[in-house]
Amino acid sequence: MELVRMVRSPWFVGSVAVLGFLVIVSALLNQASYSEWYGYAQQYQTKNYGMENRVMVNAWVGTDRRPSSALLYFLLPLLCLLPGAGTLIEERASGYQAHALSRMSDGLYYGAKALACFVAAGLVALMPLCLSLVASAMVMPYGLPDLMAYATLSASISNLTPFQYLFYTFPIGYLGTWCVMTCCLCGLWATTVLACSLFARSPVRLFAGACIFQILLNYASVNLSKVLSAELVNAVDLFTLLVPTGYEGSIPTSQTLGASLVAYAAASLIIPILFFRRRCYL
Amino acid sequence: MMLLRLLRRDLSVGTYQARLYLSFAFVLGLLFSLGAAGNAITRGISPSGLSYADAVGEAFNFSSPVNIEALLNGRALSITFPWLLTFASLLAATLDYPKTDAFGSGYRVVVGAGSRWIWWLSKCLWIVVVTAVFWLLFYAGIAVMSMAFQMDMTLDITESGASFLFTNLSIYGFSMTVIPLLLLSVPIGSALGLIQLVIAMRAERIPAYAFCLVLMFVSALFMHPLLPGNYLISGRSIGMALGGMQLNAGLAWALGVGLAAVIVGGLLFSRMTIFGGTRDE
Repeated sequence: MELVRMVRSPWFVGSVAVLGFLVIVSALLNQASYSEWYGYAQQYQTKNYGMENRVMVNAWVGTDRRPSSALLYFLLPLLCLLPGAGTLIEERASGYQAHALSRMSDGLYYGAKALACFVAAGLVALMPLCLSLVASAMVMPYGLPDLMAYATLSASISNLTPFQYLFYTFPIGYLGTWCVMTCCLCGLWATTVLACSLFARSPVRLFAGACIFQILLNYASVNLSKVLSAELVNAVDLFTLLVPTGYEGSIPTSQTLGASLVAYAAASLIIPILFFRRRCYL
Repeated sequence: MMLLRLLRRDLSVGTYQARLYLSFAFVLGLLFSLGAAGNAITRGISPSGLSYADAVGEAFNFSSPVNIEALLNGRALSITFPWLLTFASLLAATLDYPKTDAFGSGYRVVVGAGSRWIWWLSKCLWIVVVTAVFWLLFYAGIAVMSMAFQMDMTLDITESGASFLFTNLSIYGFSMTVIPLLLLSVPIGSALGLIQLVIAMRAERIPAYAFCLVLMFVSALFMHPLLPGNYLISGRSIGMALGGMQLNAGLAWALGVGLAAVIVGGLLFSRMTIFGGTRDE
């Protein structure tokens, strides 16, 4: 019931629509670029226009480096919160929570809500990314990127990008893995924010605070990483972790991705266990 | 006398309510100083070669103003979000207390004060004091981390520090200072807080907060003397670049807008009907 409410809410539909629109814009930009280069390659067949690297895996939103794709990944940590992360505050304010808690256990009430929030946020991320998979397949041919040629062109991923071996050997697997990873990370982020909503009174403030937290996390982790090691810039914010190409000069790594998954999972479990009764029965 | 008594009450009750944001100002100061050190290390410079002013410059660093023509030709839009964090927390610090006090438990104080204007003026003064405390803690945070990195505690921007700052103007190259930024932070922050207070009292707190943040965001994107954010961006400051935003113009803006907000807000507040936790037109 919780999931149906969240998925039918205008926030879910609106979020998916906004992200879907950005995916379509990226696909159109990729199509225009591919057509232009394909035209040159047809006209001057003796010259190399890097057509061997203009393959589907490079036309996906996470790898194409289009402004609309960057906007999509910038908005994703906020939009995935909208369907479910604020429901606890709304139900507390409306009095629904008091009725629900008199009829079922705390664990059942919160568990159902957290699970629905996880799935709804994951779907907000997964649906546009899957749409982008289809769109990229329509724009560019499927094929393996040429590793040698790739080194001389502007690389969309680095050697430290998680699952990079799949990028060169099994591109569709690479894209699928990133879709699932993004879906899980968004779901866990939304359940963490749902847990933190026990301390908030207004959904607007909760969402604004969540975005500010991510911006702060980006700035702090990037600069701490610079101070500790000038060679590799590690960031642990979602703007960086959700996208294979990274954000503003920082790239995701397996360690930061793994650590963030564990941290969000731990926070989404520990915070309600410690504070649910204290915050909901007073 | 009544004004002083009300202000003392506001300082004890309201400042306590804003303690989280005020402590956050100190943390932000630490982070921006860390950012300056990180920038230096990335470019192979020792952080001890920087100065306190470089760290302050990093805290007020924002991308160059938007060039619409270049944007239409496909150039990426660059936005420095950490710059907005400072103003987001400053405005949040003064957002809640006056409204909750007037329409919550403190409405009896409005009656007891004898004059609504006195109550209103005490809230305006409280905003100025909290803004000053916020910036003091912010600069203290920068100073602590600067000392930890053994930076020179001077107000002169070094050449290395200037190379991290975004600007579309010609920088002096020598005798660059952050004094205009330091002098303008309290007046402009207070004027913004007063605008927010007027909107929050007449409408709601979230629209007031959003309006002021959007004003800062827009003013960071476009360079114009009437847009207040420009006065608090290091790369557009007269202390650093030729043709930068003038200190006098910034003070005049803050004074003019601040006074207008106090007068307009006071007139509106004195005509509002207030009773026990709600508001009636």
